[in-house]
Amino acid sequence: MRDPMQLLNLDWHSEEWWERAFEDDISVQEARLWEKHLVQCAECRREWEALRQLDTILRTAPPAPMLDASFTTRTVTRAVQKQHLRSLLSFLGSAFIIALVAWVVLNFLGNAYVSLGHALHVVRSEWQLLFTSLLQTVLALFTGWKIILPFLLGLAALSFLLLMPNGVLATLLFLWLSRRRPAALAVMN
Amino acid sequence: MDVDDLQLAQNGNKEAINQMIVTYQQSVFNLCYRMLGETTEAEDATQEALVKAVLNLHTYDTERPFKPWLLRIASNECIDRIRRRRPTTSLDGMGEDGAWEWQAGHSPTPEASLLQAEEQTRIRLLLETLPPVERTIITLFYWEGLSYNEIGEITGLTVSAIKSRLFRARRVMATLLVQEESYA
Ligand SMILES: [Zn+2]
Repeated sequence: MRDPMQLLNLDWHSEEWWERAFEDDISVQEARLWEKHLVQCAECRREWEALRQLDTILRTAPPAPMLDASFTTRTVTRAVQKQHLRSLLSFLGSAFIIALVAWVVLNFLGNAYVSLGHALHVVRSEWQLLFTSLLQTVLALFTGWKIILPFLLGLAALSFLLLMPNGVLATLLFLWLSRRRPAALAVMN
Repeated sequence: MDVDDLQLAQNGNKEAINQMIVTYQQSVFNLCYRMLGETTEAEDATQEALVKAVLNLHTYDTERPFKPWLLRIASNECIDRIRRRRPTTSLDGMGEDGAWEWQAGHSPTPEASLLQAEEQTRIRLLLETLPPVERTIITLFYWEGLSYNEIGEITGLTVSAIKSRLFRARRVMATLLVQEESYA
């Protein structure tokens, strides 16, 4: 229950009061005083009646028309079509992004592979150089000390041939295969 | 319409989409009809809102009620359409697609039909005096029967802001009503 003193301080013309009064958010006492004010104040009475009338008009408005049956079918068809279109577009978008990423990654890997190839080539050349120097040193030592043994020289030549495949072994293999070719063709036919 | 059905609809299940549309189409149309005042445009807006809802089902928070979420999409659609329109120049007479056309098949007598049509036109003219958001609030309050909290979910406004806008909207329309009667 509100304080009667507070009731006296109510501003009948404030928006706050009108909002509350129209929402019926007021006490019995306030309502009684408000009714008294409406009797006395023609302006408030006119506006109050108009608001009540409007409220009735809105509450008793005829219902909106009913949608026809074809509306549902049309809308469902459109929704499904749009959903499919969106799926297709998102698939194409994803495919494009994957292709782009793959291209960037492969490009990067390709560059890295070329660099690795260079590095391997350098290592192999160094290794060949090292092996040749070692063999020359051994031969020089044998010659210098005049203790050359045919067996050791033969062994060194054989290992040289086996371990240095570029050139000698490839040539031998090519010659061997060239000789074997007519025999191989005869077998295949 | 439960969460599983909405999930199915989101995954493109035609039956679930159909069920969703059948369940909510009339509510959405009622809102669009009151906000736009024209049957054809309201139908377009309803279809647009429902299709948007189907496409955006993944953004719907299943912890919250579905209807306010859907009506928010619909009211945004209507607000956009109202804002895109040229400013209305007259408040008298019917629009190019007024309430007349649909009434004939629905009412028992031509007299009742005419009265209903007049009433619809009157309401449309009253609503047209309001800014779009106020129009939404009035529609949701009077014809969707939603609570202030539910209206808040749809409009993104606080309860006190809704009460205050609702009252101001009523006041604007009541003033028009008084003017209308003094001219009559
Ligand atoms: Zn007064």
